Amino acid sequence: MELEKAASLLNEKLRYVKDFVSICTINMDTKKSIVVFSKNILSKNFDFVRNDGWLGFPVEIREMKQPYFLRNNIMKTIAIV
Amino acid sequence: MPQLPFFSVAYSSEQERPTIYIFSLNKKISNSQQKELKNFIYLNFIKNNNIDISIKLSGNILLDLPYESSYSPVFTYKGRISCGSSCAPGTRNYSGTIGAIVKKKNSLEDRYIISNNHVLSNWNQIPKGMPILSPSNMDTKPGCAAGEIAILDDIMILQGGHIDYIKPLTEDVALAKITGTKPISSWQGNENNGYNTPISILEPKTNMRVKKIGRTTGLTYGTVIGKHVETCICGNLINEGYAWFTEFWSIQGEDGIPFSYGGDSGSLVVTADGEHAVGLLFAGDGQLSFMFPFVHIASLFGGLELVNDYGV
Repeated sequence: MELEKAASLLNEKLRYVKDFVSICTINMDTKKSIVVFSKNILSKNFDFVRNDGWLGFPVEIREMKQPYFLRNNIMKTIAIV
Repeated sequence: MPQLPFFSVAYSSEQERPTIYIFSLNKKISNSQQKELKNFIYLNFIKNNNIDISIKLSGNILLDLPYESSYSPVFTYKGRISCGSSCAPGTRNYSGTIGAIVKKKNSLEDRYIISNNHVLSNWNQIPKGMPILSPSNMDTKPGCAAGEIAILDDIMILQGGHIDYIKPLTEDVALAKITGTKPISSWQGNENNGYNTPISILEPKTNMRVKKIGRTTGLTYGTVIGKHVETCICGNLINEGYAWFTEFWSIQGEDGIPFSYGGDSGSLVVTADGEHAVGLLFAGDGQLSFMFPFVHIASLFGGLELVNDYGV
C-alpha cells in the first residue's frame, strides 16, 4: 500500500481519538514512515501502532499542541494592580 | 487572595479559549503558588472552566507582552519596506507578515504582495481594495508609522467548519496589489541580515533545511519534517472557529528555538542557502510550524511567479 494512503486510513481511525492532533508522512529514499502527533506523547490510545506500526509502515509518536493560525493575538490590559 | 506580587491583569478573547493573563513582578513564584492562585480565582471570580488563566512571570518591567515582537517588526532595504515585515489591513488590529512579491502569469505588469488570507483578508472579511498597511496599525512605533503598501486584490476562500461537511483546504493565501504609495522591496529582511527572494521553487522534502524571515521571530532556521494529512487548525477568534487543512508540511526549528510564532503568518519559507522558495507559512503549535508547498501556491490565481527585482 502507498504511504499516503496508509496515513490517510490511519488518520480516519484516529480522528476522534482523545489527544490526537495530526499525522504526517516521512518519505525518503531510505525511510518511509508515519508520524502521529499527539497532545500526550504517553497516551495509550496510540499503543496499537506504537510498537507494530500501521499497514507495514513504522509509526512514531511525537508531541504537538493544538495548532493555530500564526497571526499575532492581541491582549488588552484591564487593570494595573 | 494569595499574597503574591502581581502588577497587571490582561485578557485575550482571540484564541481558541478566552484567557486571562496575570503578570507577576516576581519570576520565582513556585508552581504550587501559581496553582493556589488559579484555584482561588476560579472559585471566587471566574467560576467558568471554559476560561483559561495564564500566569506570566514577567519581572518588574513589562516592555514586550507575549506575542509581540521583541524587536522592530519592519525590515528595510535601501529605504524600502522589505518582505518579512509586519502587515495587516488598515481596519484591523493584528499583524501578519509580507511573504514575497509576485506577479500573475496573466497580468505581467502588476506586482502583488503575497501572504495568508487570514492576514490580508481576515477570513474573507475584508473588501477588495482595502489598503494593506506596513507596519500594521498595532506595530506602529515612533518613527515607524503604518502606511499603505498595497490594496487587497484577490483571495482563495478560507472556508471554516468541520471536515464532516467541508472539504479540507490546501491553501490559505491572498494577494494585494502594490500601489507604490509606500515603497517596498522584494528583498527579505534587512540589508545586512537578509537575502533576496529566490524565484526558483522546490518541492519540500523531509530533512530539507530551510529558513524564513517573519514579523515576530525574524530570521530563523528549521528542518522540514513531513507532509500532513487532514488536520484541524484553530482560528484566532472564538467566532472564527476552525478550518481543516491537508497536504501542508511541518517544520521543526533549530536548537530548541521555534521556527515561527504568532505574527509570522505569511512568511516565505526558502531553502537554507536562499536559492529556492519552498513554502508559505500559515500555522503552528508554538514549537512546530506549518507551510503550504509553494509549488502549489504558485499554481493559484492563474499562475504566479516570484519577483526578485522589485526595489532591489
